[in-house]
Amino acid sequence: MHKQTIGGVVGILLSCLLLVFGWFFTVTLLSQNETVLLSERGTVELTPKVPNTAQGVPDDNVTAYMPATLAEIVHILHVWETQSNVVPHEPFNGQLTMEQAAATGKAWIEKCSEEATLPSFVDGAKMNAFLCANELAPDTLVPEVSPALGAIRGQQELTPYFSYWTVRFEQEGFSATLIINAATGQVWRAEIKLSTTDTKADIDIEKILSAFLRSLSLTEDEILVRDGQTASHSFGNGALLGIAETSSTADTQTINLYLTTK
Amino acid sequence: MRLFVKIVLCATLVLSAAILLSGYLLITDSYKNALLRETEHARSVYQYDKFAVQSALLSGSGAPETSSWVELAETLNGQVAFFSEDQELLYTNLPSGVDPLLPEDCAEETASHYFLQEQEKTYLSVCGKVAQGENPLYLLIASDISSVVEGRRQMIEDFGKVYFTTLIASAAVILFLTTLLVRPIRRLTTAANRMASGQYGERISTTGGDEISMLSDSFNRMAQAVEDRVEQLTQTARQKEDFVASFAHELKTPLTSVIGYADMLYQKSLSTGEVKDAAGYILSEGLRLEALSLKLMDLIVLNRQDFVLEELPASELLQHAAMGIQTLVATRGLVLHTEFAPAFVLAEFDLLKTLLLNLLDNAVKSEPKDIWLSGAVQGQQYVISVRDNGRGIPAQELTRITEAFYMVDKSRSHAQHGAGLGLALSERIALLHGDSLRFTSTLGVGTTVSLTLSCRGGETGCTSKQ
Repeated sequence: MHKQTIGGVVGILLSCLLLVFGWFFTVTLLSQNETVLLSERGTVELTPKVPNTAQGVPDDNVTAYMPATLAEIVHILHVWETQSNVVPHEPFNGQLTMEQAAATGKAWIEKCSEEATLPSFVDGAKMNAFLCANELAPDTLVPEVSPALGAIRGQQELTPYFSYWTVRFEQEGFSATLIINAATGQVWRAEIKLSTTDTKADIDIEKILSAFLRSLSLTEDEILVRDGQTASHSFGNGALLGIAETSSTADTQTINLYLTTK
Repeated sequence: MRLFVKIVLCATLVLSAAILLSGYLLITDSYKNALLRETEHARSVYQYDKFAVQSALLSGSGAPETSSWVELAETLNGQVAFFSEDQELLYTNLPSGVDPLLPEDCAEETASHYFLQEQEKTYLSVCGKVAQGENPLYLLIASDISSVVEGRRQMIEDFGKVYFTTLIASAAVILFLTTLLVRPIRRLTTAANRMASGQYGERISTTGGDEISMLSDSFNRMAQAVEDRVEQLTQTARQKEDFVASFAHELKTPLTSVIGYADMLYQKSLSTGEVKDAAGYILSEGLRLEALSLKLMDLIVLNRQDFVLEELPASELLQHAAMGIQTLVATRGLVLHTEFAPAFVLAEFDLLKTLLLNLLDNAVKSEPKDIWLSGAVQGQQYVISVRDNGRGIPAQELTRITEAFYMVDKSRSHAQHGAGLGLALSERIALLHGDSLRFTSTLGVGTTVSLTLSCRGGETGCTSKQ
């Protein structure tokens, strides 16, 4: 055979070998890489380090520790309503602990029940609580609130306010799910479900709304709208709404209380 | 190995390396991101579970009963294990085969994660300490991330298919493109082989302006140069053959006469007059042979030596030439007219004098009544002319009269002891002076031969220094 042809054939064979060898070499590297990745261990701190706010949070069961202005409430609600990605986290400086959140929730239910003549809360109810925050994109921190409502503190100072405790109490015939701002200790949303198997409670929606808004210190004369099973108060020229809704099924009466900017 | 095979192999190997590197980086990065996402998700799940356990502890105001662990575990996300403060296992619903192992770095405010591989399954475990009241415990959750590992394995498998398919397809495309690229080089090779076999007229058509077109252009120029040179060499060889043939003929003719007369003198008894005639023929032919050998010597010398041109007064040179031919002119009853413009020219004195004497001798042989020898300045040049009003030269002969041994009228030349080398010698001398002889002739009117020399000095460049 011609010398050049032999050289060509040998070259082609060697190249094919190199191509196959390259493949197996890459697979081996990938396998080693996987072993390294799967042998990695990691530790992360669950409590983010955030500097103390000016007021701080007291140790025991006290509500409304760090008041927020109307403008700030509107701003925080806007973030809650526009951000969907929720992440759980440990409470950090300036936020309620689980015990404080549970105590705040219990106290709020008792007070509301008293003022609005609802079935009272019974000790021994099962409680479940977790603290979440919306993952904030920088643009959401740009205030969209009218300056007429007041000033809004800076991002670092306001960070604890964006987290909220979801506290759920449950006992036979009664359940309540409360959204408590982790910094102010105020209940900003609540869903109360009452069993009507035995008796049906006479719910005064306006009274319940007044009790809800008083707990938020939103008691000034504002526009009240009542429409059947819904009552709402408007604040800051409509920038903030406090709403109470009731609905009922055959065996459950539901009361929804919430603040909204919509 | 052929060039196109080399190109195909190299390109395929480079492509292979690029694909493998890209695939490796892509799969590694993708796998890292997937593990990172799973880790973030597991931490999030751990955090929710931790809150749930804390809530249970807070609601119960103490550690749950053993039977309550099951109930609590059912409310949690994922598979879990509980450990007491002294790291004793309290409860686990982890898959069988997975050893509930609490790492040393478990702490209250941290979440530690690590990977477990059991029974062809991969788990991501996150653990930490849950402290609520006076009953702290350790919580460990395990998430099955086998789908991520399986996804990676599937990705490698798909990558393998893509890798080999791409290589085969690319090799085919590269082979096709390389064949197209190499085609002009093959044409070039074929043309070179044809040239090597003697087809010097072979040329390549070129299109575009790439390197191969440039190479083809260069090849065509080289082929043209080779063809010209071969033509020149062929012509030179033919001239040499003609020269040798003419030389042999020119030697043979006088020698035949010499031998014939010598034989006659040797073998016959001749009268004094006959002896004298025979001796006269022998002398005449001997003189021809001598002239022939001298001219040949001059030609050989001209071919071998480098001459240095010097700045000479033109009129003096022409005067010498005129004086050299004066006796012959006077003997023939001719009139030599001279007119020399004063100037300095670059010339080799003896050679240029020989040239002029040859030209004047030829003029005398053309049987004229008058001969003119003139030198005139034309710009930066000095033009020497020899003109006669003799027989003239036929137009078709003018191009060959400077060839060696070429004679317009052989019988007359032989009678005048000519060898046909005078003008060849003169042409060679003219070339050494940077010009060639220019002939203009009309039959029955006369001939003019002129030569141009470079001159030096003066406002026109040719002012006399004399």
